[in-house]
Amino acid sequence: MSAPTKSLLQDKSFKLYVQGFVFSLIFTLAAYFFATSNTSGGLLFGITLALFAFGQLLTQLICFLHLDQESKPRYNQMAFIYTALTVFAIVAGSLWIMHNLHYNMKPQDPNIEQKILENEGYEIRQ
Amino acid sequence: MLGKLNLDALPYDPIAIGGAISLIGGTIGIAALLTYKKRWGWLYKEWLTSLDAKKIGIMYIVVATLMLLRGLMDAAMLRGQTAIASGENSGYLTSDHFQQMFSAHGTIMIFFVAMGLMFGLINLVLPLMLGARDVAFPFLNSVSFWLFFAGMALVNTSLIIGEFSAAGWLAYPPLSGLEYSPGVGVDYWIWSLQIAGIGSLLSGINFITTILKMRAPGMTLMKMPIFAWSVLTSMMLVVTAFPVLTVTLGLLSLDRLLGTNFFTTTLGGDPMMYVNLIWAWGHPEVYILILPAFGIFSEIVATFSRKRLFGYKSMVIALLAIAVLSYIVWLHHFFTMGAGPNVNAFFGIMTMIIAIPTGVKVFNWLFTMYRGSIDFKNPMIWFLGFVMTFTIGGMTGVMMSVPAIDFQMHNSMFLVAHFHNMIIGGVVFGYIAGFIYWFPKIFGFRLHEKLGTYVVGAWLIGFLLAFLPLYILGLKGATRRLDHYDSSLGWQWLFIISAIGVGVILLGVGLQLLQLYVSIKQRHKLRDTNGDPWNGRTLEWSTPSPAPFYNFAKLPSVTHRDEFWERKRSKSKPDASPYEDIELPRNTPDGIIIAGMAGAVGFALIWHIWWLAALGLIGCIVILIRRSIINPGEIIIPAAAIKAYENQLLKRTRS
Repeated sequence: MSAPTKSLLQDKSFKLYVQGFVFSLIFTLAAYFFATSNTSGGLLFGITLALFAFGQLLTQLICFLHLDQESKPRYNQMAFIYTALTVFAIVAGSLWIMHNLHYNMKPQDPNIEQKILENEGYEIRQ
Repeated sequence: MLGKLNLDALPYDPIAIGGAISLIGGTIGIAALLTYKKRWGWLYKEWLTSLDAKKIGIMYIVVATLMLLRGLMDAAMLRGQTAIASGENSGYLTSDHFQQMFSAHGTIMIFFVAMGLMFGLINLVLPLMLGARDVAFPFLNSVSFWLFFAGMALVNTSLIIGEFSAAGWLAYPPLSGLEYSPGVGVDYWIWSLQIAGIGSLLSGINFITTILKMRAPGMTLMKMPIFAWSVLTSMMLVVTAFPVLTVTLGLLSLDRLLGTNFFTTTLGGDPMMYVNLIWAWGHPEVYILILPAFGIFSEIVATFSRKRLFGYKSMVIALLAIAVLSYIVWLHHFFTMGAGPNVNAFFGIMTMIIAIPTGVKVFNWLFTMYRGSIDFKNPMIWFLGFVMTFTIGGMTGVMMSVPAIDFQMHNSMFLVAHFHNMIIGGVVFGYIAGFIYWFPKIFGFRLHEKLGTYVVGAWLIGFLLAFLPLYILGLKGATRRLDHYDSSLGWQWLFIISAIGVGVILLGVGLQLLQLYVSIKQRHKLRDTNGDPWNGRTLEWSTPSPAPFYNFAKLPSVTHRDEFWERKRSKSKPDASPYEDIELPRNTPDGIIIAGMAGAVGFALIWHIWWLAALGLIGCIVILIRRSIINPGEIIIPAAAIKAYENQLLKRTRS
């Protein structure tokens, strides 16, 4: 825990932090205005928002966590893999769970039971 | 000016007033005692501003113990109510108060008792075990503790000002939404968890860094004591799971504060997404709590069996397997929500699989005991009680992992019995055992052995009496959160047994307090003279008891997994190298100030006092920036002073 001797502005990483700050603001605002100006939804809309989120993720990783600069200790890599794994599990799992839920529980559709039975290949005997 | 806050926020029904008066009375009593003994300055200088991990650990445990008493009082009131509220008799609690009470009971027991005991014990022993002088970031450690304290203070403030959430310990919407919970209760719940949760996240980062960076020279990861491994895996879960909680609570509070629709049923919101997200945090959370308890028992079993831990590598693999698997089982908390058979089957099978690494551990412990020379000291008796209760809990858990069975058990008393079986029989037993085990290292004397045996007996019998009837009730169809039932159901005698069980647990806790008192009285008789009261195996026992504030006068170097045991066996000579100066962090009140402001922000957001929220937030940021620019530096303890102190300790050991 040595005290920093250089002034802030001379620090190499200072530039990176400012860049990171600007980029993270841009991605946040872009996502917000994109979402509020666009009311139609749809797949393309979702993908664009996800891309903004991904850009935000990269900004945080590179500018604040300095992921690219130091690859020496192996646990850095392990930590990244573990985090990626858990993020994947939560995101993919949530999408799967919620999609399956909507498929089974769509209340708007009056014929949903019929449709599910057909989709799942059940024979309906009268 | 004061938002929604006005005089109506004060309690009016007699039981709530009783709670408020006992809380205020207790606080005033402690304050008066401190003033009378002129101990305020001492408390501030020696404890509140301290960055010593051991002192922070003790403060965690003190807070957690007080909260345990509060949580137990809630539990006693709940079971007392269900013991009498049958048929004509409607009991002494209103439905609304009953709901607030079980919400508070769950929230307090998980966040402020189990988490508090866990962080407390880790702070006490982790640096000592690793051969380090402190955690990696001592200041951050203080901030974490005080954020935890601020969250705790908010929960308890709800006793006096306003009300607490009545929406259960996880506050599912739409019940926790503005439409069905317009009061401030859910907001108290959100902000106390939000603040304490950030503290937990920071602690997680701190302990991971400590384990990766601060180990004694020669201690490779595979030579680390198993407790350190269990902390590492548990903290990995903290760091990845707590952000999910923060976001979920954040979205819920946006719904409540700004009128967004993330979790409403209108405008495309989906309450089920909340259930999904909160359990994506909630399931790892239960492993966060239990893994360090596993680590504690691994240390205890090896020490009191006088044997190396059986299957160290398989233990490590099991811990890591749990750290991954615990992220793919969370749907088993809501099998009944409406997912199809393929989703339910996947998560059901994953839940069964996660029982395997846990089973591996149980067998490893049993094999460690096999042919060991077992010493039935208190921690070991706790371990034996744990194996029995934990195995019952594990079995019922595997039962409920079958979705078809879960549809029957879901939200029943059976589930309540199951998770108390894991959390009391696993987590609480583990932390109490750890506390007894490491107590001499921190305070310099052992706890009274015989009283301790009675404590185990009372806890164990009380636990079985309180929760085995709940299994039966669950099978009979009693749902959880039930405050009144029809007398024709014939449930009352089971509820009465359960209430008696809670009484026996209360007796156990009373005995524990008595044990503490008696042990302090007899501390000279119970003194730990050589720093190694149990014939221990790991580095923490190589220091004198109580461990000096700098932990190790000379940083040890490690060649074996059970380093201290090997040293004792090979009769290695003490390190004769000269003493060196030791740098220690300077005490600081910044942690208290930051957490105090965070608490003010929380309180302001609960009552919609916007100016206070803005002020608190700005204050937090200003203090943080000031702290990162102005380095307060370290205090340096000169080598001569350390030599003198160590010699004095040695002299005391010999006398």
